[in-house]
Amino acid sequence: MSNKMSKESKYSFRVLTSEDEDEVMELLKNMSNSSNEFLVWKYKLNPDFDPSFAVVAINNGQIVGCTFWVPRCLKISKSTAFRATFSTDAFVHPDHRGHGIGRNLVAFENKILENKKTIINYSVIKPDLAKHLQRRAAIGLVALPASTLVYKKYLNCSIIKEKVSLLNTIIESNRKLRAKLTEMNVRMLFRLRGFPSFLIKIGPDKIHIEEDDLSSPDLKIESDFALLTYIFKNKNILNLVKALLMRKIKFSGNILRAAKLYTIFNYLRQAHVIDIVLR
Amino acid sequence: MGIPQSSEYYLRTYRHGDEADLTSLFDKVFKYFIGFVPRTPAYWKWCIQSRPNLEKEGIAIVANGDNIVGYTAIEKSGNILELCYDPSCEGKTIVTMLLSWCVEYVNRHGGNSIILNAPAQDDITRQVCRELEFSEQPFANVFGALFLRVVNFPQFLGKIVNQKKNEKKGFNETILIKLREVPFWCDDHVILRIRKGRIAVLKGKKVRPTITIDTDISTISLCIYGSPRRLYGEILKRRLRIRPFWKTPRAVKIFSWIQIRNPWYIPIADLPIPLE
Repeated sequence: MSNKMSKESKYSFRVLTSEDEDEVMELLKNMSNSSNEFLVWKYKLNPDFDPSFAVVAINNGQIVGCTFWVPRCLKISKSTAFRATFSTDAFVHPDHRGHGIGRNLVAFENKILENKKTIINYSVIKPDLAKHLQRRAAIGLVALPASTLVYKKYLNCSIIKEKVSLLNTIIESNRKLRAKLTEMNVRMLFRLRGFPSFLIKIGPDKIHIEEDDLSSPDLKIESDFALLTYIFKNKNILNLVKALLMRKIKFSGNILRAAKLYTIFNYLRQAHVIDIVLR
Repeated sequence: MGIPQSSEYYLRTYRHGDEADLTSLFDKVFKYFIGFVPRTPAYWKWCIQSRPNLEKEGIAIVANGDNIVGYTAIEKSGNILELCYDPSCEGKTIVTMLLSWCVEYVNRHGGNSIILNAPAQDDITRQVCRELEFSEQPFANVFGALFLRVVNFPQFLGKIVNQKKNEKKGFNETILIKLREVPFWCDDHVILRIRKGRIAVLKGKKVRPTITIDTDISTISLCIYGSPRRLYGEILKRRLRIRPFWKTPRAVKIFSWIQIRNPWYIPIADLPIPLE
């Protein structure tokens, strides 16, 4: 089974063959940042993997895109299960994006699903990508109501230490920022659910992180690590206000120092330092 | 923090041959959930044992005598692939033993964090996680949401309706569902005929329906997976039109009857994605 996009199109689509294996593995490795060992486990060792569900896009004899769907049995109740497929990978080489390859890969895959009497296709997708897919190719894609929670606990402060060290590198190379920091001498204690307690000392020359000496803080912040990360990443001030009003974030300590801190935070935000650190 | 001891239960590592008991425990515990792959020893061996980053010592079992009452599988980096306990036993003790063991295991291997996903309605896991100072967030914030796409709507509806055929509801209706935005390979008209306790899903248009439903495939799918409240919302937004209008309560009743209310849950073991 093979297909051409249009008479003028330079792309053709077909089911994966054993000769394509190395080329596709190389493409997947580069696009998904997965190790060879992981890909071998994911596909070659997978008892459910069926290459006839994998589709590749070809341009000038080279594979430039692929979709991998694994057949699975999807339970929808105690006694009922559907013949389904789980989408595991879908990639188009960056040089060939914007030519409708993704849409055609999904259309081709749909024909396979129809022939193989598959009733449902499902996947775990980031909501923004799902919106894009819905518009372009996957008609009828719907998100199920949330009913799963993720619990996370950090066992050490290494993630914060990395960010602080990155921040210090930026401060060292920014004279204006360094000058602003000399006026500061603030000790902030963080007690966050899901994270070990730590103290951040701002100024006079750089930012320090303490895990042992948590004494005499100027400001104390109590909250949830996952909530704070979510607020910072989404940069929505309303989320912050809502969390403060619902007492999900609690501040205590010297308010004047907090105001001073806000000025420096605002400066960091304007200088895009916050964006760099959060990346 | 050490691993709590129990006079009734003890912790041990995996032994060859345990997989049959582990898979049957998993299937028994999660049978009411949508989304997970029913476990077979071959599938379990692939998704747990042969997974890169998982050591043989990364599987801990809580047993009561010879009976396995709980287990967990964790990668060195701290991703808990599966955590399962028998709800008929002392769930809180078992989960506390397993999670405390996970914290110790990850600490020993120099990992930075532990991550576990569990059904939102699992109050025991939630309570233990709170006591052990885990933070909590929706699945969508970390991995993304679970998306479904119905490829063949008549077959999908047929199977759901078939599953409910023993529930006598006393409906006598012929419902014509007109679907908009349907993929080219799918029928855009589906008939649901309910007569004297018999239910049939038919293709085509040649019927005289008692109720006609005009909608698109996303809306109808959402109404089938979602809550009854969503159904009313879609009717008010006119994304789901019912004719004649006075039959709306009857149509809503039929929809509520066919709705899938089971929550979904996918353990990390079923997600073939590279984790940190």
